[in-house]
Amino acid sequence: MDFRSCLYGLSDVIINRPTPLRVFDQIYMKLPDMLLQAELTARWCDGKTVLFIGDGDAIALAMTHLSNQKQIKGQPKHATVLDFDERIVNSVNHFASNFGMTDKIHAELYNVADPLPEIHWRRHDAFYTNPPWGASNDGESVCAFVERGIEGVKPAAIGFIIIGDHSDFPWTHEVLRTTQKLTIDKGFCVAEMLHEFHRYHLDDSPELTSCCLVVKRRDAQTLTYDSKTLEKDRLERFYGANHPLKVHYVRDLTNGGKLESRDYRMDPWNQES
Amino acid sequence: MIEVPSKIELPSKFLFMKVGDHAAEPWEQILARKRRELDETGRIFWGYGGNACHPINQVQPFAKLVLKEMNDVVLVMEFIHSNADPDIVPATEYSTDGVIWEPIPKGIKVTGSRYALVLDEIQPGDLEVNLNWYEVAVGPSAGKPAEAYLQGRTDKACFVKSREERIIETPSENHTRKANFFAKLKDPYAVVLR
Repeated sequence: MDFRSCLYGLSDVIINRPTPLRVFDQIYMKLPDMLLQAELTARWCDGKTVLFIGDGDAIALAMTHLSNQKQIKGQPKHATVLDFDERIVNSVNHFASNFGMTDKIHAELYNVADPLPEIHWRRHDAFYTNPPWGASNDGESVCAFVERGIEGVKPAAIGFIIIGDHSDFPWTHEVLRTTQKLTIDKGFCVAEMLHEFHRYHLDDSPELTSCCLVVKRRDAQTLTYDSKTLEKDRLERFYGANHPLKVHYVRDLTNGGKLESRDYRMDPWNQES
Repeated sequence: MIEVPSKIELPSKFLFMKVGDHAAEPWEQILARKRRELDETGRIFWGYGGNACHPINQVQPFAKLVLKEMNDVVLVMEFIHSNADPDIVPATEYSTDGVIWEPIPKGIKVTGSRYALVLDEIQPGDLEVNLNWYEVAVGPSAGKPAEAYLQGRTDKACFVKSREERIIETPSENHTRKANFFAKLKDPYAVVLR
């Protein structure tokens, strides 16, 4: 691995990420862990299609960009990013266009509360998700994202689940157990787990880490399309206890940076003053 | 004249915040302004910033959790000498959900803040917070010991009483905080500003 070239590639990806919105717990992964996660995902997904259920971190872009530049082993066939934040969707698609990767990565607007679009039903070889970690809803938000990922993959499939994992935070172990049980019930087994693998730009708990749980399924019953809107009680605690889902989409007012930001104004130079 | 109450017992769940001079405005002047705000509008917008205690995903859910068990959500305020930046840009709109925005009510002024707690009267009090007894109640840091959470840049938190007191081998004064003011939160408890 040419470390410097990898970091240049990641730098392209990171500068392309929109500002994270803490209200939705968009808390971005730190650079070294992005590189390791992108490499790991690309290696597992060589020749496969991958469905990302939300991807504020931009692991899909990192994986595709570095893989496209032959900086890492593994050549995923295609990545699809589904996200409810139009800024993320636009940032992925504009990046793909700028770097000539539109045949390798694509993003669409989608909220996990909605039924999975039929075009993605059991279509992909792998899913990836780094959902809201469910600290105060017993992992409910994790389950919602993982279930959509499972809906989107073929009977024989791999899943990458990035969730809180730290020995000083007991809730992370409860959620991890809930998540493992869910995947086992859906026919998966744990193929690999990288314990306390990632750190985040989380200023009030910078030590909090997440694991990469890789699950694998050899086969499953073929099912006809049956994706449904999340039940009301799940929506009520979507982001946590007493914290319901209220926003369907975050809209991008800059069209992926093509329009000027509204975050600032310019004061004119006045030679007289 | 507000009578200074005797020692006040802490509830098992409360908000904690360090307070002091802000935006080049002395603490006493802030208190006087906020009392006028309460007289005129029936509530106080107490501005704050940072990433801890986000109004929508932490304070509001925490307040609802507290109100299932007790009558009031209490903010405990520890006075510190602050070097807050003299940022005087006033907010013009507020929102309880980030979707619907309304003008800041006449009589309320919040400067240099992204968020605000919605408070009733700010009262002087004699409160002692033994941080070894509490931990973070909500959010990704849930379960983190209070004394560890308040180290560094973090100056506010939603706390819940731990099952048992943590025994610290080398106790420091930093583990016991003297709080001089408190206030009850009012519906909608916290808002986002712009």
